[in-house]
Amino acid sequence: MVSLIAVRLVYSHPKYFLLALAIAFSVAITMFLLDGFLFLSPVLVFFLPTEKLLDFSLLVFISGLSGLVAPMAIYSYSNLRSRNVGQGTLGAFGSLFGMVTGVCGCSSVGFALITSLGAVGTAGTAFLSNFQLPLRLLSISLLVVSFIYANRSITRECKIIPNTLGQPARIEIRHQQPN
Amino acid sequence: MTKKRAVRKSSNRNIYIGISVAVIVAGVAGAYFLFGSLIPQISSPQINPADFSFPNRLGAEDAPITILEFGEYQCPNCASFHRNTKDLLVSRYVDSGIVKIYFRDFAYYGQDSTDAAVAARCAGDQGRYWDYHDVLFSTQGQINSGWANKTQLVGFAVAIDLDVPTFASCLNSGEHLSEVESDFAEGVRLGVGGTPTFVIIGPDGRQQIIVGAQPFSAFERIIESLLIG
Repeated sequence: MVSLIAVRLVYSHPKYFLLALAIAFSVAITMFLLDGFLFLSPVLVFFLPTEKLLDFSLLVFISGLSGLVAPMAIYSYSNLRSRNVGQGTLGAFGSLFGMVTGVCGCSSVGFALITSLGAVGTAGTAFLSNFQLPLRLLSISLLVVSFIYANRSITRECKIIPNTLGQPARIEIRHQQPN
Repeated sequence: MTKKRAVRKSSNRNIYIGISVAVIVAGVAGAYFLFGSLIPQISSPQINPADFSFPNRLGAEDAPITILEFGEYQCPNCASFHRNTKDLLVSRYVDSGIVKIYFRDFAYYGQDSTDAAVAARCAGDQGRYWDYHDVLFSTQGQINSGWANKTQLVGFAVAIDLDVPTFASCLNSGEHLSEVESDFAEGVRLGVGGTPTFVIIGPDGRQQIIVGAQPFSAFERIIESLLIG
């Protein structure tokens, strides 16, 4: 069972909330461009065919998770004693995986890879294209694991003071390293 | 004191908002420049419509607008265009005599892609190029999974009632191989960096490029602007 106290703790700071929005938005835009949902030229146009609804939903989910996980990893790294670099790396890999799966071989980026890397590029982009769905699910799994780690590490490092009569719940960091 | 704190808080919030906006702008700009640097750009296609001698045309010969589609039969984005945009484009502009379409083979996924392109041209020899083209896109499988190997390609010919011995002989002889290779070379010369890429040529020779499986509205806007002149 994942408690959401850590989420509330991190996102009670506006800077982390805004950072989450910025990351989610940037990841989403990049993935929409790579995957052919958003086109910048000759006119700015967004296109969502019904057959790609599942792909689109997964991309939105990956973007949202990236936005959720990254600030939590940053918070735990900058504020807490146990600076767990692993959880941030895992989250970053999750986001990157999600983005890379959009590099279909026939997209412009995919073709550039094929021409640069030859047979390896062809095999690589064909693999990304053929296994797009499982790779995206893997990306989501990495992000979820990263979220659980970040959540656990923040909860463990913080002292949660429950409601008492007339007093709101409080959260205190167990050490003296406030940022 | 409280007022000072409130002012500081508000100022901090503005800084955070500023940083976030900067991150978003940097992200979008980064993606844009990443694309810009990786993708070859077609700036001036330098295609003269009078030079066209391709036998497989969809639409009236005297249609004022010409669309060259650089495509690849194993490309998922090309199949996506075929499913979601092409029919509307054909019913609105090709059937009304405004647009003619030529499919240029930009086969780069290997032998199956090249064989599929040759097979479509062999079907074209029997006057069924576009039927075969449609069958290839509507039955497209995973890249290099064998769905477009020679056995399958002959099977598609059977499915649309082609003269199979003639078709198989054409396919195995590689009769149209040089044309397929020449299409690819022309695409590279023009700077095609992915498929599908469309070069849309107006009645006055003005040319516009569309890259990717874009919606009908993008084509409509370009075609209308070229028609107005």
